[in-house]
Amino acid sequence: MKCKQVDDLLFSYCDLREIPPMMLRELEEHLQECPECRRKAEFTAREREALVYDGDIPEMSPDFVQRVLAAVAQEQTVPAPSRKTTIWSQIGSRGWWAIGMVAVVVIALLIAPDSFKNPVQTPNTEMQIMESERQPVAMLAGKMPQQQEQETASEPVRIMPEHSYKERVPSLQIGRGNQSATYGSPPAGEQVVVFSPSYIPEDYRLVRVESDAENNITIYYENDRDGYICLRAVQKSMAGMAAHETTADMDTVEGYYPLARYNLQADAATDSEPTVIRWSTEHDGQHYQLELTGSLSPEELIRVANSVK
Amino acid sequence: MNRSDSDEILAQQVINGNLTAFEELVTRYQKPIFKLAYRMVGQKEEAEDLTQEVFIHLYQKITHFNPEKKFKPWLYRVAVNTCISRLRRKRKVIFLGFDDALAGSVDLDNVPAVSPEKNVEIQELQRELFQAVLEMPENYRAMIVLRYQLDLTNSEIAETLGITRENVEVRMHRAHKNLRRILLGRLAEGRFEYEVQAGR
Repeated sequence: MKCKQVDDLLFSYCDLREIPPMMLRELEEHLQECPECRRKAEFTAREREALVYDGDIPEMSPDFVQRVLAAVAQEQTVPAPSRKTTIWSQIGSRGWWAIGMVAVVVIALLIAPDSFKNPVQTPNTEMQIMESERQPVAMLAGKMPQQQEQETASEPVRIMPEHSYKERVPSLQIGRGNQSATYGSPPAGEQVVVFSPSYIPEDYRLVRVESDAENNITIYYENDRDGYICLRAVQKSMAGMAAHETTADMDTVEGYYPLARYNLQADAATDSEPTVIRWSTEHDGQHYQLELTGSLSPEELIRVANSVK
Repeated sequence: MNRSDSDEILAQQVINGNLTAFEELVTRYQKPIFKLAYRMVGQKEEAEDLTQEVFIHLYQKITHFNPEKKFKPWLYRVAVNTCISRLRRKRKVIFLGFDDALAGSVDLDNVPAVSPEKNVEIQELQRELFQAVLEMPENYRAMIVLRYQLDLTNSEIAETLGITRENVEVRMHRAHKNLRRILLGRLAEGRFEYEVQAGR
């Protein structure tokens, strides 16, 4: 047996896990002969010993069980009916998508209530939302504001009361494959540019849109199997851009982002690990850094990235 | 309800609306779930909050449980998913270096020598190791915690995560390598008072 093979088996060996008898014998013979591998085995054994240690786990609060029971009672959380009979399951992924898109439109309307007075005028390749309120906004599709507040308590966002956005959304005209449009006439002042993908995998739904104090928009999608996609766009001033951004990324401007410039930071072999794509673009003289993260395969995430406009 | 009832019987009773059975399940599993949560987030208050969230999820989703199957893997799956969701929500965007351990191999040549005179206190190694665990990607972190802290076998982890045993072995191997790389990185940066041999 060679040292490389021993390396691969050491974790299992020190973990007392199953190793075929023949391999076990060869491994132990190698360890007797090779001091370097023996040293590694000793370290691995110590590592394993440390990993099972739990003496540092803090004590739980003595009233934990009672608090759980109180929380269950207080929230009136009764066992939900099985998935087959819930309203939300009957809505299905299409319904979720529609609800998600409602959230996007609501964001637009909250930021630009005046622009809603004018109907859609000019189809455009970018969703442009005119800014009349520089307010951070967070919306969670399909959830009550109180729930939103709990889930985003640590975020610098403002939760709009439900009646507030309902009043501002008399009708909606948006759906899947959103080739975005410009809503209303641009008022004087700054614009908020929203980047969104026209393609996402079928089973994903939009679950949340967040805007921070600088109006940087983050859009979240999830599916029912714990998969997620997150798109964040950050506006960068030229002065504030790091040197590597101006040299490496600034030529990826004007809408289309060549794949060669993608900073693909994951291993395709690790199927369940998050993949990150970062790139930059320019719109109306402003530079944006885009970050697309997800539990998709790199190829699929690239497809999503290619559809971002 | 009898305190000697199996988990599955208790779960069925919870489905039927028996809160005492739910209390018994919380009592039985609060410590392992808290341990899992603590190793996943590294902070007591948050871990306790997460543990509470797990049990609330458990109660809300108990009708999805099939009493003909084992309860423990189902509960652990709820717990792992809750922890991973929390971590992802916290981080929003997760950056992984391309040369992260996910993609590379582990340089085992730099493992510290273990000799009596250089022997480090086990507590220091434990502390450093669990800090390294907290730097791992969530999925690998869960693998390590399930294996070593909850003492699950490959088959039990497979049942918990709903993947094959072979897949568990592959992921566990990657998780080990990832952990080793992070740990050695910490050692090399001198965050740990331990002599690191440079090369062979």
